[in-house]
Amino acid sequence: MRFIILIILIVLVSPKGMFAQSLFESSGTAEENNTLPFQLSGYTRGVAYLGEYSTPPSSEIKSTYGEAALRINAFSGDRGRLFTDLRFRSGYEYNEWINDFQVREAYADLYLGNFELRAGQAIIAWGRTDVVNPTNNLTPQDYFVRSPEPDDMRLGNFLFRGRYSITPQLRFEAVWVPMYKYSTYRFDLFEMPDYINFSESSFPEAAINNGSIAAKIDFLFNGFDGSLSWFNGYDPMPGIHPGEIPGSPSEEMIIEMYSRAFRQQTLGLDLSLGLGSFGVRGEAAFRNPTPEYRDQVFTPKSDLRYVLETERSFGDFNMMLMYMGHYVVDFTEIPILGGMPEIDPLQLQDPAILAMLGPMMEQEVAGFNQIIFDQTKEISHTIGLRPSLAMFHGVSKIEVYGMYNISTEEWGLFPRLTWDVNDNLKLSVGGQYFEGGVNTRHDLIAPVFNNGYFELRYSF
Amino acid sequence: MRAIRKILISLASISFCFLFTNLAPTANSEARDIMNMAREASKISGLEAISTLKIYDAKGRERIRQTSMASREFDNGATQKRIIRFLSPAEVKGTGMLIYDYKEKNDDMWIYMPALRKTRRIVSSEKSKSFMGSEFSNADMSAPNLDDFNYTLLGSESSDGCDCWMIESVPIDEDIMDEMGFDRKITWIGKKDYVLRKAEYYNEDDELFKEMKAGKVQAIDPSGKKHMAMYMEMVNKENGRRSIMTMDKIQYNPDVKQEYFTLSYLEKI
Repeated sequence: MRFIILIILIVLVSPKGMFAQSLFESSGTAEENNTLPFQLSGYTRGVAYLGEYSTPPSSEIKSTYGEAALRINAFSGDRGRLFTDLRFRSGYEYNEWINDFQVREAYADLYLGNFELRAGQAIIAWGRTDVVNPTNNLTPQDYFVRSPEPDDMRLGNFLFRGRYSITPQLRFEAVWVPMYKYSTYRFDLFEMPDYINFSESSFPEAAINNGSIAAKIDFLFNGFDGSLSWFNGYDPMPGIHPGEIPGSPSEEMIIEMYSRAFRQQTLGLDLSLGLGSFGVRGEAAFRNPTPEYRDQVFTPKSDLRYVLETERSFGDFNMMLMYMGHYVVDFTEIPILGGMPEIDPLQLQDPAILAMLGPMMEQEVAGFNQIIFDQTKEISHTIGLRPSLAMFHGVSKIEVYGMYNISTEEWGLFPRLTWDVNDNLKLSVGGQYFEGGVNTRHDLIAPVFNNGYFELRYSF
Repeated sequence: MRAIRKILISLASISFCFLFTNLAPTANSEARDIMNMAREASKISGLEAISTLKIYDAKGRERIRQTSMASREFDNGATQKRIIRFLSPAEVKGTGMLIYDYKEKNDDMWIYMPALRKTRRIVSSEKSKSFMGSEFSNADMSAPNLDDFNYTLLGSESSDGCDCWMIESVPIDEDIMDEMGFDRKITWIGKKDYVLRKAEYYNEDDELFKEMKAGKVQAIDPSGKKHMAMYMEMVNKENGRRSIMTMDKIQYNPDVKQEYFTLSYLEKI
């Protein structure tokens, strides 16, 4: 790794004359400015999320923070560049004061004609659809980040990426993620019985065999483009696995819960085309856990997820319509008792109940995993609608994304209004609202995520 | 209103045909030939430029966007590829557009939005949309297909001291009208250099709603045969907004790197 970074650095800092840049190449780069070998950009913002306590009903400050982002683009030229995205967030979130420093991305790029190599902490966003990307298994997500920008959910991952443009219409891409990094899912924030304790997770060791690899071929034709992709590795989204169950009534009634990663393979495709005045985007992925993980309580079933979006503009008004389907292979319905049940310690004095505790917990956790993996139905259908209107010549924009899962009857609403006060200053107000029946994911996350937000951001 | 206008135009056209049966086809084919010549003249084997886009609202408040651009001919001139990237302000920096401008089929246009980390294909209904909040549209960023319009040579007129042909372009159907964002356009094409000097855009009520003027035309290739306007101003007559695009630096370069015109490069920005 150090050797590769060293090579990239040597190439990047070589005398300018070696790799003279054209006007287009040098525009906005270090050479154009001809002073410093790097450019700085970023933003500072203040954000507040307001929600409501359910019991007793009262307003709640869910989050309020200030955040500074600094992006450093160094030695950018026709041979490569170095890029770093640093974030510092300070404020109050999830009932505690935070001071978080994060190196979100830090990577080196090397360009060698039609081949390019990226090494370092980077974010990869595969998939051509907007709302959901089932083909993207490389980037872990922080599902609990409070930010109006969806991109802030993506987490950087240490990786090597090679891209080769076979022809202008055909591009091959390969990615190796040597270390497993999991998505952030704050199970501890959900309402759980007292005897449930979420513990430190156990994830795959740092070994070559535990890395993930992926490959993709992008093709580009007149009026149509798309890709075929393949992934083999640990799914960024882990499942939940119960620890030991108390063996006798005298033991303390505490059940530890662990996040456990599972290995899977995904075959995916996506496409984008114009059909008259309509833009059409589609994506489909078949996920198949590897045999050693199949039938484990923390592993989802094999499934096929498919998304179709169509979009049309009418002047400043734009409408996006989405359909998402999900088919679970070998689906078995798990009778869910209603989240994790409360258990009276006195009940455990009864040997019959104690003996049932293990199988019952296994079933509960399997049901819980079905919820977080969206596998409570064999086939589920979700529709979404996103009208948006650009106002005042693009200075302001209002959009509302609404979704409804026909199969589980969950729905959500996500309005947002933005106003570009000037070229640097932007104001956003919006909200998110989830609603669902008992034992649905929306019901689980609604107390945490139902809120409105305000953001004022200055970019430079 | 659009239907009534169409009927009136049709009636007028029929009357015109009766009166000038022999002349009309000649004038129309000449108009098309001129537009074709203008299209060919706008093709440059290779070019790189840095330009500034100034956007003024009705109160004169200014917003500035700086872009860099590269273009190159492919397929013996049948395809012109162009890449545009935004250098400033910070909010749009890194946004890029890639355009494959085909002579005989619909263009391909993509936009890369760094905030989404995605490249999005621009479909025809989005071409009439404003280009980065300016009075120019996405469609203005590429040459329209000749077959998408019916042309009429209206005569000759001077524009800013330059002797020009006046040509009316009417989209052949409503889809093209929606795509282009106008119902009728009159363009002033320089007789000597075939460079567009002025354009008037009319809406469905046949009212002038946008006017474009180009100036500071200069030769940009060593032979002096290819010319380009260094200044373009689009004024919106309905709301008083205007946008000015100026070429700050320009470099004729037939050997512009082919790799610029790929999605990889667009996403590299």
